[in-house]
Amino acid sequence: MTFAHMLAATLPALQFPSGADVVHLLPELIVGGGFIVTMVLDTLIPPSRKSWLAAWSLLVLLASGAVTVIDWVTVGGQQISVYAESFSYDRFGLFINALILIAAIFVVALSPSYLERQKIHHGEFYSLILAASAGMMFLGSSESLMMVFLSIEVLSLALYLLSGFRRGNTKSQEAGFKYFLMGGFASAILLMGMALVYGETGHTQLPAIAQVVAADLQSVDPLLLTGIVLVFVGLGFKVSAAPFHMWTPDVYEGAPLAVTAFMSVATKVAAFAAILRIFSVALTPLYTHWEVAVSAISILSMLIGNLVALRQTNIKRMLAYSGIAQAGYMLIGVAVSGSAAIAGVLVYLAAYTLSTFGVLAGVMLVAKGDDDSSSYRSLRGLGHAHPYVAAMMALSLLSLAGFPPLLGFWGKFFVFTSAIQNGQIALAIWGVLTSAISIFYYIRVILILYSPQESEQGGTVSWLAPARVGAVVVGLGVAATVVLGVFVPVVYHLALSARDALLVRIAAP
Amino acid sequence: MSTGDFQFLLFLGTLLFMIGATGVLIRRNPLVIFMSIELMLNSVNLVLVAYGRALNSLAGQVFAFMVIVVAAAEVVVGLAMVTRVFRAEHTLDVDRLDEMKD
Repeated sequence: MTFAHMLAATLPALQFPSGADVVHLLPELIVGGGFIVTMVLDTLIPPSRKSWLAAWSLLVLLASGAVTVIDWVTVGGQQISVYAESFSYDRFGLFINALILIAAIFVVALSPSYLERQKIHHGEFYSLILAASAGMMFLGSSESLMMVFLSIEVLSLALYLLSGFRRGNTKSQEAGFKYFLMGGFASAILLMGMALVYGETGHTQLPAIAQVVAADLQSVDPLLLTGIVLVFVGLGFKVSAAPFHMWTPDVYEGAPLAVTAFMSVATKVAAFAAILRIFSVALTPLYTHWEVAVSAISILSMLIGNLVALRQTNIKRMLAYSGIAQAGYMLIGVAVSGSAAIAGVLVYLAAYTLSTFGVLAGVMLVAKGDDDSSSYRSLRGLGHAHPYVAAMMALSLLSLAGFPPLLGFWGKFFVFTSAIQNGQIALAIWGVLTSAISIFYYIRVILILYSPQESEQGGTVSWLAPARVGAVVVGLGVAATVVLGVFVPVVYHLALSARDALLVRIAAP
Repeated sequence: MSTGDFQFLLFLGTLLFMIGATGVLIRRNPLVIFMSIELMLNSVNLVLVAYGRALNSLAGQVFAFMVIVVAAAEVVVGLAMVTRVFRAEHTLDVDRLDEMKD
């Protein structure tokens, strides 16, 4: 068969972009377009007025958020394919969009004062944050292996550059560089997995893959299983699950606080969206083949993350290991893979976004220099000097530790109960035990915040007065952890309808 | 394309991927690691194109084009970072980039 024949055979299946496709992808496209406009604006705005770019980026993100909310209402429970099954327009993707937008809005609102103090206030920061957000939002809606790969690369390339954003600082350079090498390696592994899955099923679209996989359950090709394993390894890097977590602490420590805050939450949200779409939906027919591997990685992540976090003395590194542990808890939900578990993971993602961000944003508000301000020693006495900031951080830490009625508790509650309902009691018990360990290192930070400053350090206060806008934004985020924790049915209801939208094709094929 | 050709291409692609992965794991110079990652990406291209031909679907070829574009973008970002790290630390040995430790 010649190339012309192949082209002719494929052409009828090709669809050209229609207006409806553009409208369905509007939240993602606004942020993507905003990224390009920001790059141009950056060259036009004088260096002393870079905070205008922050205002502009906020406008872009808020516009995208407004469209996301409108879409949530109009789309209902449907799942609509966009660009010939490249993306899926549904409430699940919109839920993920909302979480990523919240993280991006918080970061951009906090950044001007922080970047100004660190003397790294360059316009590229805002364009790169928008590029990364666009990649993450596309990833949340991707329904084809090609788009999953492209979105991951868009978000990763932007984050590599952001991690090395403190130009004069060797730690930051090292962080960006390590992230780049490890991320590139992970992408190559992910890509090989996708190539094998495509080759063995003949499709790159997830719904088509699901059909092929479901049709032939008796003889599963070993190459297909290899491909699935490699895809999981690649995505495991992105959510920093053990044993693929080696890059996380170094990158989180070296990157500027604003970037650490953004990528620790938003990357995890986006990558979990991809994991749920690929594993909990498209590959559910092969559940028995990958269940053990995912459970093992989940157990390992909870163990390593929680144990190593105990001996950290830097809040960025502590949150890196805590993030590894949290990825482990969320992977319980993937390993259980029931419909209740998916909703649990979504609630967990919301809780993780707000709480982790709350802790890092607290440091960001008062940080004089990145390296001095994130060590435990320099956080001593913050509770007396800036009671408001310390209270925000303490509440967020309690939420991460899973204290009721904060949102973090409900994330763990829904994931663990779904594990018990599905008979995976061992996983649930392991999760509860390891979260008991985690209480020690979260409480330790709270105790440090409210302990008196060391006398030999007296006089060298390593923090500054928080900026007003930033303080209000962090306050909103932490208030949301408390309020949504008390009125948890609201979040759970949203997560349930996101989950229903995700499973609509399975329910009625 | 005969089955034998296809199997050979698949084998070659996997072999190149393994060589690339080994290079990433054992070499200490970031430029060589970077080249090894490129080798891995290109071996995947070979596998994608071979599958596309065997399955008579264009998706493999299209996918390979996307990988080529992404690899080019990665080179741009990566080489910029290599020069910056070299200027800051005057070394290109990944074992000596150990500013941060547990």
